Amino acid sequence: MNDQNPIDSLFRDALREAEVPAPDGVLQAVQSQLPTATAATASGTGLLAKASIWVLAAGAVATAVWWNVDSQIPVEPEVLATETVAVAPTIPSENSIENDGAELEPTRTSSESVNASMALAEVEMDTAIKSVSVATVMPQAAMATIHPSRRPDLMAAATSKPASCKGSAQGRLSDLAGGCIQFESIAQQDAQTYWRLDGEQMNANRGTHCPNFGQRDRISLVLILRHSTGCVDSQVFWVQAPKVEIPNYVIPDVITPNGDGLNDQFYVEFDRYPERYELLIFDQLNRLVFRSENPRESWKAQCYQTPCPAGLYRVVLTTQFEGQSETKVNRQPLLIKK
Amino acid sequence: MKETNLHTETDSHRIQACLKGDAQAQSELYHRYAAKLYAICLRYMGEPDTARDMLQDTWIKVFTKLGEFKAQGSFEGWLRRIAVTTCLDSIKSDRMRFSTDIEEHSSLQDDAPSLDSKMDAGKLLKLIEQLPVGYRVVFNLFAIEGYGHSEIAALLSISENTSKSQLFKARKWLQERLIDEKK
Repeated sequence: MNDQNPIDSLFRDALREAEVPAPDGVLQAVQSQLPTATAATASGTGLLAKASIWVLAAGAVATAVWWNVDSQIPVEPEVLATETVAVAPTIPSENSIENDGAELEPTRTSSESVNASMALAEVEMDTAIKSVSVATVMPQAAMATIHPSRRPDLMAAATSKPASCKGSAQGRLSDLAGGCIQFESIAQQDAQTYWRLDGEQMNANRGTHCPNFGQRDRISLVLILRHSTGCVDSQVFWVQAPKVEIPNYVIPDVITPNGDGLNDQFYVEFDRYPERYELLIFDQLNRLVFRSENPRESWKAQCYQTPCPAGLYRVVLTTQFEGQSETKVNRQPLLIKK
Repeated sequence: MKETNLHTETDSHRIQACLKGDAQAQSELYHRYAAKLYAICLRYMGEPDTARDMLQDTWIKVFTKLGEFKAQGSFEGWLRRIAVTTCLDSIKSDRMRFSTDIEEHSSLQDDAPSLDSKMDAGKLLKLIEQLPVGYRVVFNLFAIEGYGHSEIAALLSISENTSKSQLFKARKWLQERLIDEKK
């Protein structure tokens, strides 16, 4: 009986095989997240996780150095360098390496064609940590931050592997439910790997870690690889503490519905959508001209099925975000200019 | 028929190449199916940004799990299932709530005005995108993917009755919009 439903069949026939050109850049983003011979990547296929991951990829970090890295970052590179000198690690000279300047290409969920809220996603490149001694060089490192409203990429990037070092530390993280992280190193010949989880050594190639952030905003997971030739390489993953900050949204105070495609419609821009949402817009006579409970719905400046006259309107916005109490913006002015 | 076989054969060559990490083959597979999968993601997510993310996640899963694909099944069907489950997982994690009240099933009139069967797919897709999320998911699964209520209930961790009531509400909602459009 249900098969005969005219609405069902109308939609099924029209849409079952429907095609919509996919946005640009997806394939590139996908390929950049696939594990390849040179780059260790963690799949970002998990669901919206509570933690986002920062990655600092640093190849060929001597053991004594990463100890410092572990406990000192975030610090300015200069500070780190000073600290490292104090430790004065002894590394066989054959392992001394040059900063090969490899660039880290952070894996990003979205491409260039992102919307305005994604413009907040920053990629900080070239947080270079310079060499501190002849024997110990920390190659260029980079961090990537992902805007919290997007699915955090659990990611790593290519470690900059010195030519003289056989084997490079390659691991991957993936997010599990409940704020835990699964870590795994990619096995390599003639090399042993182990992890330091938030400073605790874990002699295992894989496992689960449930970070306890305390007051800190992030912790590190460091994968260390010891090659039988004596070479040591590492890869540092940053796990950022769950955001507790109040979500951001922007309520426009002016719109210009003149059909030029710019600011023609009113909508509240969220960096993440609230669980509950109610938007009311009143005109000068305090008549309700628009109401919506869908944060994705915009107001096309229509009053009673006709374009609203220019003038001052009032916005009443009630939102409630997950885990937070309800907030209300009362009677914020909205100017319609023509 | 012959064409289908040909396609299947090229696909399986491409799959083999992808398993070896051939980026060109990945690109070919992607371009062959991306538009279909994106349409699916749009149908479920209702919004281009998240649909795009789902498309991306779908392909990451496809390429990482390609080894699990059993050649006797339809490759396109396998892709579609991955796209649908990727979207469902995301929607579920957003704590989508299905209203559990059950409406009378009489809401659909039998003498509904005849629907223009030639409405273009773009318009229909837009309508689906505007459906409230609970309606949208159940309608997609039932009407377009052809799942039964028991399967939908299990997939979404809801009761069969909720699935039924969501479907009826979705149909009613769509019918009203379709009638509005005709006016």
